[in-house]
Parts: sequence; structure tokens; C-alpha cells
Amino acid sequence: MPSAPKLTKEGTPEPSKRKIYREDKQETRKVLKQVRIDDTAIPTSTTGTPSGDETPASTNESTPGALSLPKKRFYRQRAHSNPFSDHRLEYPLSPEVMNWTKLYPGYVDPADPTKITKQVEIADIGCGFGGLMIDLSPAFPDKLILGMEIRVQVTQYVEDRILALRDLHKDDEEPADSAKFQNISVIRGNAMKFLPNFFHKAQLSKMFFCFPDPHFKQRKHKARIVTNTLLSEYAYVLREGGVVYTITDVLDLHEWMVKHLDSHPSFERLSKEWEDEDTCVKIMRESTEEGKKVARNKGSKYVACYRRLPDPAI
Amino acid sequence: MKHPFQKIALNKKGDLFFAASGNSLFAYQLSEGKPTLVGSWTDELDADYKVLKAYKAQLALMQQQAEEKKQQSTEESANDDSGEPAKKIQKTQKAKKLPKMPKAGPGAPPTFTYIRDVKLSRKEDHLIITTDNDKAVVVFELDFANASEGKLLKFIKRQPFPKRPSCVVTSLDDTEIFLSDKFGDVYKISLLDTKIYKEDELEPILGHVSMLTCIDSVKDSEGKEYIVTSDRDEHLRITNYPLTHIVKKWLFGHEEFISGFVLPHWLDNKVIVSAGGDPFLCNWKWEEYDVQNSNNTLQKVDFSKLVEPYITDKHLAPSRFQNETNDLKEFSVSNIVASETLKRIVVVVERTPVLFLFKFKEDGTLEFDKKYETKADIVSVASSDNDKLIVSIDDREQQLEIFTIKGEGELVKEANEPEVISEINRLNTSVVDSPEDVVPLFMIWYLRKRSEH
Repeated sequence: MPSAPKLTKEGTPEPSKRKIYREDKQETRKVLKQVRIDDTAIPTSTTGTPSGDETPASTNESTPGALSLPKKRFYRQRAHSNPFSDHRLEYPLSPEVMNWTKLYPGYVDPADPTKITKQVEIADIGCGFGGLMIDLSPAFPDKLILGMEIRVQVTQYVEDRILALRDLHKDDEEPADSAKFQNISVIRGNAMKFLPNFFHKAQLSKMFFCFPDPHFKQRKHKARIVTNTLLSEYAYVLREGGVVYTITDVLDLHEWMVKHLDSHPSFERLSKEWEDEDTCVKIMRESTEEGKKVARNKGSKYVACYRRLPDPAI
Repeated sequence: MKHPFQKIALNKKGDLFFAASGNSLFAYQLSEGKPTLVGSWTDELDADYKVLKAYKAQLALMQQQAEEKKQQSTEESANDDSGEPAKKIQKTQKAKKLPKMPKAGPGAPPTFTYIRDVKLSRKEDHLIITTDNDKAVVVFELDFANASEGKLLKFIKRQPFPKRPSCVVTSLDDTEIFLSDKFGDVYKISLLDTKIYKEDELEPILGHVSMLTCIDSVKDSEGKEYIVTSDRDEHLRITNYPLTHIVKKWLFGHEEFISGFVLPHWLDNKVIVSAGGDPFLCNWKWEEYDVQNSNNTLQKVDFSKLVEPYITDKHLAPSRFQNETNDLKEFSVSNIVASETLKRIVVVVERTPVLFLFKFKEDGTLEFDKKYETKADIVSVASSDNDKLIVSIDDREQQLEIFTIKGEGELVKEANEPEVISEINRLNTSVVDSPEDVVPLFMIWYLRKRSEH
């Protein structure tokens, strides 16, 4: 649990252990890439800019030793974030100008180093500590998966985790192994406001909403990630036949999401049988941090999945 | 002193002028000779409406609790005759003590409630305004038969909404009112039906997760109808209507908030021009616009050089967001109007005394045409489809300037302009005691995003 920072005699806060740890990690992250799209702080020799023949592999060489997996306890952050406030977010002006190369260095297009060879197809909205993506990565090795998370420190954790995992496998002999975790990445962002800035119409085939903030209070309900009006934006970025996955341990929130998805003309609920056979549902139930916590506490998990229906002819 | 006009509107013919002054609305007939007052309306809802509403809710709750308690105690006393009467009396006394009506303390910032938007229906037989007190839309029928008696504004209904309305417009067939609010939602209510809905009966038909600043309807070349909405997060969105769950597209180009947009009717609704916190206008061929290739469908028209001579210390950024040399100045477009007769886009930058006119070239690109200076900073602009363009200005003596449109996009002042204005001002009965009571006239800059973490 977060506690008030200790004050030194002068009254200035003393940097906590967690802060020192994160600052140390920040240095490594700077060398590789940043959570933010902004790259002014990155030394040009290691950015992998399109200027030279540098490959992501050579970038790794500049980091001394193997990266260690980040420790979650240093990144803990309050579980809530106000989606309506003006965070200092970085988002592209439009999906067309989004630079994905730093997020997916393993997929940089050799013909045009400002582009990647694939488009992101799976989005984990509010990915938290990234457990779902880490398990989705080997299940969908040929698909690009993006996590979006609004909390800065949590995003940094996920990024450090992905970087460490990639580093761990980079010397594997089989190409399939050395490419491990190259297909997942994370950005800090507000999906409720800026999803269409990142994704083209019908770009996504799967969207995950795992253990979202329940926003219990009545007047906070608009802050919930699934609302009638927001579903229209999700429907825009999802392709026909694409799937929205939801899971929560809060029955009230589950009923809310079901109610809104049921009443939205662009979505149709998938059956229990479908859920039982779907790989993603299985992963979603078992792999997220929240999911594991709920399982430890022997709580219930409520799943609802919806297929994106074709738009009627207008 | 007279309260200035914070929002004005004109009918297409240019002979009916509507002006909102604080919480009052005035309708003037502008024909030959002296203007006459043909209608007026004052919002008489208590300025402390919100406080009162919360207070009443609290009272009701207390009453309910007291009754429940009473019932409980009668049940108790029925069961138990040897109760302690002293204790019971104390209880009832406590329940009787009513809470005080809360009042703002001496240090509290002033709250202003005023008429924000004033719009005519497309057929110009109704006037729709938005009020702050109860966050409502108020609809008037224009009763021309009784205009000579000063009863042009016939009250139809007042529909409160959950969040503060920012802009209203009617559907293309004039049967529905679309209302955008500061919470990002758009609601639809019937123009004519007098039924008033409760807050929980109202469902938004579409929504952004951002404050909406402007809304309008448009038809594409195939005759399909869309709703266009702009927000504080640089988004300009085109949504199908009536199937509002299907988003047609977003128009990406702004880098700061959008304060408004126009659809010049003489260009067959093929063009949207939008503006806000950016030093440029966006000229969109919205139908053809495609995010993957916007070269020929989006033109950004930079106006920073034009506005530079008018940028003063009034445009300094707030101290908290200043640069090291304390000279960071910011400007935003507060008014954008498409003038049918002028065939010009009229643009006003907040806190400047100048109208910039932009015209379309043959190839559809927009370019600066000319400018007209006014006596004081411009607050609101209204243009008729006929020959009038009126601006309300931040000048307590004059309040307005009236231009007549002549020939090829030429604005001139008629000889009788001063008399017309002084008569309009004389008929404005909205009076305030001190300048502090004037509603904030320049609020657009406030939309600029200032994030800290």
C-alpha cells in the first residue's frame, strides 16, 4: 500500500527505495526505448533510427549484461485513475502517423525502417501488469498485441518486463524462440479518449477488457470502460467478426457490461460453449494478475464475450 | 449598467435579432427605422438552483428517515409500554432540527449562470436556448401574430439535462433537437412534443469521452444524414444518423481543442471549416477525407501572422503555465461563422477587436480575404443570409456593431447604425450593479489542456 513519503530534516521528501529502483530501471529503458513516444531523451546512437543499418539486435549489445525481470513491488500504483482528466499523454495525431517501430523492433520493415511489417490486431485495454499479454504472446506468435494502460508506473513495469523477457530469449538458437515476446508491447494511454488515434477502422480482431475498474458509485458510471456510447468507438476499430472479451470479479460490473453490450446493435453475445472452447477465454481466466488474485481468494470470475456484427447497409 | 450581450443570433432575412444578456433574452425587429422589441424572456430560476436542489433532497431524505423512525418507535411503544419517554422526546427533537440552507462563504469564487447558446430552428419558427441554472434546453415558438405586442417568444418547454449543455441544433427535418453537453454526450429530444423527461429517462444517442464544443447535422452527396461533433480532445467526428451507433469517421488534423466548426451551405455541405486552439483553420472535404491520404482533403490555413498585431498582454498564458521569460502568449478562435451573402468564413480570435474574412478559391482552398476592425474585443458574431452581420463587443457604451454587406464581400456601416444600436441598448433591461456581475465573456482559452502528470 502506498504510504506518505518520509521527510528529511529539511522537509524535502527522501526518495523511496521504490523510486530509486524505478529510476535505475528508467536508465535501461532510455537506452532501449521509452514508454512515451517522445524520443528526445534517447541518445541517437541507440534509437535504431532509420539512418543506419542498426538492427534491434545491435541495440541490445549496448546494454551491459542481461536485463533482470522487474520487481512488481517497486511499481505499485493506486488502482484507479481518472479517465476524464488531462494526463500528459502522448498519442499520435492520427493512426496514420503513429510510429510503431520502437514498440515492435522485431517487426521493423527492412524496406522502410519507419514502418513495421504488420499491424496491431489484438488490444488489451487496461492491461495492468501485463500478465494476459505475456500468455497471449506464444498463443498468437504471428499477431501483434498491444497493451494500453493509463497508470505510468504500471506501464513502466510492463515495459521493463517485456524488455527483460525479450532479452532473455534473444540468444536462443531457434528463430521462433529468439523472436519470443517481440509481438507484444505496451503504451501509456487513455483508450477511452484516444483509441481512434491509434487504430484504423476495423484494424482489430480482438479486444480485451480484463478486470476493469468497477467505479462503484452511480455518478462515476460514465468512467466505466464499457458504456453504450464508447461501445460505438470500439465497434469502429473492431472488424466484422472480431471479439470483445470481458472478465470481472464484480457481479454488478459484469451485469452492467452485459446490459450495455446486449443492447448495442453492433455486438452479439457468444455462447457458453464458445467460451469454453476459446483459447483466449482460458488464458484470460487464468493468467492475469487480477485473475490469479481472485482465484487465490476463491472469488468468482464472470466472463462475457461478444462478436462484432456487420453494420447494416445504410 | 447594462449587461453586455454574450450571445447573439440573426434570422436568415436579417430582420430578427436575438440577443442574450446575462439571464435575459431579447428579440428585436430590425426593419426600416427604429428597432422594436418584439419579445423578451428572463430566466427566473433561482441562481442557487443547484444548492437549493441538493438542500431539498436532503430535507426530503431527513423527513423520510424521521417518518421511518416514528413508525419504528410507534411499533416499539406498542410492543413495550414501559419505555423511557424522556429518551423518545429527545429523539424527536433532534429530528425536527432542520439543516441550514448552505451559502457560499466570502472567499468562494463567483458562480455565473447565464444563457449560453441561442439557435433558431432551420425553418426559423422556433428558438432554442440553453440555460445554466438547471442545465436546460428552453424552446420557444416564434409567434409572429403577437410580435407587435412584444410576445414573439411563446414558451413551449424547458427540459433539464444531467450535464451542462454546450451547443444545440435541430435535425435537418427540424423535428428533433440535438444537444451536446460538457460531459461529451449528445441527447435527442423532440422539438414540438411538450413532454418533459426525468433525468434517468434520457439516454445519450452518442458520446465522446471529452467535452463537446459544437454540433451540427449534414447530408452527404447521396442524401445520407450525419451528426458532426467536435470536442476538446482535438476530435471532429462524423456519426451516422439515425443509426448513431455507427461512427462514419474521425477527421484528424487539429492539435489543440476545437471550439467550433461551420458547414458553409453555399458549398452544398461538402466542406467543413473548423477552428479552436490551433493557429490554423482546418478546411475539410469531409466526405472524401481519408486518414490514409489526406493530402487533397485537408487544408490547414495558418492565420498566426494575421492575428499577431492584435495579440496583447491579455493573451498571456496563466502564470502557472508560463515560460521562463514570462512572455508566453496564447490565442484561440472564439467565433467561426459562415456568412451566406458574403460567401466568406468569418473568424474571430478571442479578445481581439477584428473580424477576419476568408474566401474559397475556385479549387476549393481557403485563403485570407480581408479584415475589419471593431471598437472593442468581439464577444459574439451573427450573420444573416441577407445583408446583415452583427457583432457584440466588450464595450459597455456601445455593446454592438452592425455591418451591412455590400457587393463582393464588402462590409459597411449604415448612417443610422448609432441610433439603431442605442435603441437596442435602451430596450435591453438586463442591468447589473457592478462589472463583477457581468458573466465571463471570454472563456474559450480555458479549454486549452494543461496536464501535469
